[in-house]
Amino acid sequence: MTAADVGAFVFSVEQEALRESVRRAGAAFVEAERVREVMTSSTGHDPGLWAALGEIGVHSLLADDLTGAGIVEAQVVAEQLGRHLAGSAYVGSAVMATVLLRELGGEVAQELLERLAAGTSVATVALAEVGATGPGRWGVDQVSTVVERTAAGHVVTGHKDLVLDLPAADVVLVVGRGEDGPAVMAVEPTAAGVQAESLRTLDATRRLGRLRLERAVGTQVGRADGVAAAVSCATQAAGAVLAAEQAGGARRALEMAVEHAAVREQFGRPIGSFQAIQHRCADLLVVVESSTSVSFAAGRAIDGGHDDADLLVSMALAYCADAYLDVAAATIQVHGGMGFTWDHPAHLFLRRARSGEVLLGSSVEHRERVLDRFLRSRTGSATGTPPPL
Amino acid sequence: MQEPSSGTPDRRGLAPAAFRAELVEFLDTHHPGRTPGDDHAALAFQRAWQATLHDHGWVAPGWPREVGGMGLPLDLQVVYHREMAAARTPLPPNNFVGIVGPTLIAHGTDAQRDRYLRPMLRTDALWCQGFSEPGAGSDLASLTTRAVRDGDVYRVSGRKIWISKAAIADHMLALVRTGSPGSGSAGISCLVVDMAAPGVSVQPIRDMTGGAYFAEVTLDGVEVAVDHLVGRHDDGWRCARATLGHERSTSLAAAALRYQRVVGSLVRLAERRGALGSEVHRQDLARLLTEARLLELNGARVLGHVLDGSDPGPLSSVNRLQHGLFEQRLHEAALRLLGADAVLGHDEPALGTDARWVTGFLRTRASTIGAGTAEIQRSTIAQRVLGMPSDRVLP
Repeated sequence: MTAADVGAFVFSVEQEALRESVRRAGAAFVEAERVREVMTSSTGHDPGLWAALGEIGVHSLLADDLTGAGIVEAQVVAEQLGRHLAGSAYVGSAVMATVLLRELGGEVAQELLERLAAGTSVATVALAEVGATGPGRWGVDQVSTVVERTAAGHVVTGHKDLVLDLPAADVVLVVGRGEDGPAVMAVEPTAAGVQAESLRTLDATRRLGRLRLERAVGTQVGRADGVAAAVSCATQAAGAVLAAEQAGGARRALEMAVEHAAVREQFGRPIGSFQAIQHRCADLLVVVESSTSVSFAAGRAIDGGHDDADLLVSMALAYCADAYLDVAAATIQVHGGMGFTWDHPAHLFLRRARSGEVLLGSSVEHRERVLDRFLRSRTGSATGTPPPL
Repeated sequence: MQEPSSGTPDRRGLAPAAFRAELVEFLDTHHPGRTPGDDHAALAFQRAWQATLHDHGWVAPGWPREVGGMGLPLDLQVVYHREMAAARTPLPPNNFVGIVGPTLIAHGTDAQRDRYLRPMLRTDALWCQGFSEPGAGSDLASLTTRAVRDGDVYRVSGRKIWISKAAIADHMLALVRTGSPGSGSAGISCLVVDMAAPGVSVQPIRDMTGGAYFAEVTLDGVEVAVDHLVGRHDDGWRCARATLGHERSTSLAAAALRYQRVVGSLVRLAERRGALGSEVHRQDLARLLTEARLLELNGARVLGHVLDGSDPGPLSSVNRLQHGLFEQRLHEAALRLLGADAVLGHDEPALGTDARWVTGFLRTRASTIGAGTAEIQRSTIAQRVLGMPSDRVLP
């Protein structure tokens, strides 16, 4: 019987080692000045950090089942990156696009996976449609981008929204609808008929774009009958990893508040000695620890193939997004006037938290899914064995 | 110390699966069913169950075998609590495993352990805890109940308050001032007071639920034999801090599983009242489902550390605070779901079984007050866990 069987959880020695090696590899690229530089760059993507992550094997973690790594390992990476608002396409490329390709399978996917694992390509998934509101925009059902078969191959027409890291991506996996059903097309952003619209985002540390496609040439990836499941798998994986990234950011934001309160003195003593500040920070700690717990529980549930993986991912996304917002706002408050300046990093956490809440579905939408999943999972038994984690 | 009873089976070396199987078999044969609602009947029912547990060697999983416990390794303790929670066995009539038992085990004399522990485990004798006073709640170290040594007795005078089940208790573990006034925690001793002794009077406190779960106990020149001192003179503050192993984390883990069932009941309440059509109620329920699950998940991380011998760090304090707040939010949501029926009292027949939510709503006001107020818990988390500077209030 493992720790998990008695309902206990700790990170493994290997996971702790991964955490430490990401921390070390990223150390040179997460200083405040570097973050600001990358923020204002044309792509918002730090090639030095990307290469450093490649050197410790981070890009290939989810590429196949042979690595032995799962969502939890990807979460460990994301948690560290989230602490520093590091400009990287990790969630979009190394998780969402990678998992989508892996699930779709086939020659085209394999070739792209090799490039992603080597760190020589950055990919992103274009799923949500411009103008599509509501929870369905993260599934294949509301896809209205059209894939047509022509004499020369396939062409794609549509208008995609919320495309992560678009300025840095050299391949976009566009989810569209063909004559056989949903289809995924690999499209190059520089190809004819493709107009990448970079958005000026609230969170400059994470670039988002829209993609206008007008009969753009695409290469089909995988087969129609596997697309819905593959997309679902990819968004589930990205959701769990995003939640862990948010948990990491929230933890760092709280640390900053506590550090500041220890040194800022007013009325002859550190403001951290005032109950109002102490109590606020204590409440934030509850929320930070809970974010870590629920995000990694979602990752473990996916890796373990548990029935409640979807439920936990939605719990995690809803909880971690709201938690991150609370902590980021409180950190600004604890920093007083300094927290309100452009130069202080506190507002960057707030911006990251605010936009993160809508990236893969809002907290309200995810809570709706939590209740829905719960209602569907009920067996009606009054007692029964404790639920798996 | 007496030798372990030859009748207590030794299950310490069992593999978890085998241990679980034995426990399940025992429960299949001996589970007494649902605890009766009537207080008087419930007490007898709960005591009978504790005696059954004791007599079959299934009581106090974390206590040493020498004093009648099971002496289990931590992983088996966890299995024990999970199975008992899943089987919804009757709760003990009072929480002797929390502080009273461990204090006696760690600091009691052999004679005290022999005299008190087994009857405590069987609930042949019932105990209560006399700590808080009208003037000493959060600031417990300022307590003033005085114990003056006179030959071979202490004479004890003062008032203790918020004592649960005082009316039925045979003994009270009391913190008293043996040092000079103002000596704070350095002048406190721990005494076992016989509740039937002359000078002890119990006045039930009618609390805001209308019930009288707590009492005030007045001690008026009560003579307590010197051999009823637990630990050393003036060393009571430290003694009363004794806890055994990780009783709290394992039992909080069990509580978390119970809460998830309770939220399930709340969802059924919502269904009965047609509330699932409202997005507001749906969001409420989803939040509660998440919070209940979080209690389990945070508890799992505490347990993970406990089992591998590492420090749970902030998680234990976080857990405690979160449990108290959750209980309140749960019942607040329940009363929102009752809609206009929230005007009804728990004794209004029209409420039926939903009365439990009304009494719970009132009762859980104490969840952030008793056993450490939420404010003290937050200050403790801030200073001891986050390392924030002293507020010059917490000791």
